[in-house]
Amino acid sequence: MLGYLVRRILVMIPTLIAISIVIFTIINLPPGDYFSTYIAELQSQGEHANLAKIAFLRAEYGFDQPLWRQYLVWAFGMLHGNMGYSFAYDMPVTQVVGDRLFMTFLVSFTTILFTYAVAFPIGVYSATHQYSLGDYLLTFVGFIGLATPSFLLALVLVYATHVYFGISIGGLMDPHYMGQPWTWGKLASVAAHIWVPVVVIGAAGTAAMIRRLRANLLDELQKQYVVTARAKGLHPLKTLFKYPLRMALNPFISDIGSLLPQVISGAAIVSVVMSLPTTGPMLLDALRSQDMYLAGSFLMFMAFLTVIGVFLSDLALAALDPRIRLQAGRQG
Amino acid sequence: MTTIPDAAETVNAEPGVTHHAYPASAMAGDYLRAAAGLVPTGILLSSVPLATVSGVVLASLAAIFALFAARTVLRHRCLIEMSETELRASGLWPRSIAWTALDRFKLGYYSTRRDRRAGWMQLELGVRGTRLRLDSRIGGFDAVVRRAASTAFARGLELSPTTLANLQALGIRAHDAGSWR
Repeated sequence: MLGYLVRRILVMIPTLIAISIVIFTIINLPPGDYFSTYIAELQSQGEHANLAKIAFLRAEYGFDQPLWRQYLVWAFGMLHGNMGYSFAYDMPVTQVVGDRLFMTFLVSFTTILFTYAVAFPIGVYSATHQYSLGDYLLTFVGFIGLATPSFLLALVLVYATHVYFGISIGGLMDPHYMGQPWTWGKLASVAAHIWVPVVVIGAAGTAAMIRRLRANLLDELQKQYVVTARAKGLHPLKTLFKYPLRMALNPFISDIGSLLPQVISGAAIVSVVMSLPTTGPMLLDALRSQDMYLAGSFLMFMAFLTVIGVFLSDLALAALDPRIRLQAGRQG
Repeated sequence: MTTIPDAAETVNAEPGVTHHAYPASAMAGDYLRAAAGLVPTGILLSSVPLATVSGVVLASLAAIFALFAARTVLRHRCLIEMSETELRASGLWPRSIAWTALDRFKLGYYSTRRDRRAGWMQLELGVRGTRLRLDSRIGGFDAVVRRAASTAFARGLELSPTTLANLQALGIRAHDAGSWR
């Protein structure tokens, strides 16, 4: 495993470097920069921009330098924990992000826990009770979950709860807790609000995972070793848990890699709809206004999560099922 | 110090005894990997003031690469002797696995590629607390696996489906027990 770990890390580092270069290039592709957008905005409102100050800021933040030099400053800055400066907010990115990063983590991890906690028992039930009424019902609900975009589900929920119950389910806490230090009251408020975005964001992922677990478990349950175990009179639960379920769990583990960034990026639109204080809406604003360091740091953070997620799922898969695929053949 | 033979697998004058070692050509890649990891992390750690999180991450990476470098040296200096009675590793970390006491047999396959090609196998043998891990770059790996599998089948060890699938990929099945030569 140590050899595998080292090789995997050595693959991961150039991947991250390549991603950072692509991100930096893409956010610099639109013509102009934050300041030219800002000047155009002021002029459209009939106001005058302080051109001398803007020229000073351009020089201060290296906008007059070649692109490769700007990239190096940004990349080495991140190694030092300096994610750059947000021009729109006029403060360092780390301060702008602040609590929002924690909220994003909270919503994302709760969503992933929800996804696994719901998908696992339903997937197992559907596979072991194939073509039963319960299986048909859960399959139907699963297809609805797969086919409904998260933001649409959010809009419907926000509308329905407001019109029929007279309550607002937007936000992650009661408004008077916003910007306040953490207390038990604030925590309780977050706990009371978080289930709605978690269900909305997790619906599609949960449905997809139920389908995959069901299909994989059905494949395993029809294999000869399971038939033999049943014929020999092994207890049904032991027949299920000993090997078939373990084998069917592989997609669960390999999904960790894609689930994390998927949840975070999927949450961006839902966050806008539901007024969640997460990083999603801020990322959209940063991309629109060409606030390059804020946007770049967000995108890099998501890329980092993706790479780490895939790395962790690969490690878990290698530890759980280091099996050769016969069609791949073996080379020394 | 143990002399490592040029050939990765040699048959000793003593009947039924074979010697197995990791050829230098196979270990060169691991030395390069250890260097590729240790050099940049070392340079960054020693020359650039880092944030706490980056520092901890880089120090952890450096520790993993240092451990890997040490293991590469251990493997390179290791000579495996397989006889009728045991599998003996000599070198910087000597150990032996008596066939009659074998209680652990695992065969894994690892690959960093999505298509699972260009990977390598790892054989793990154990007797009580002693473990011996060999990877498929050692000379005569198939012969060692065949002998160990034969013993594992004969002793009735419970082998995981993964190990059985990997054995099958090497052309070894349970009913081949006893035909390891």
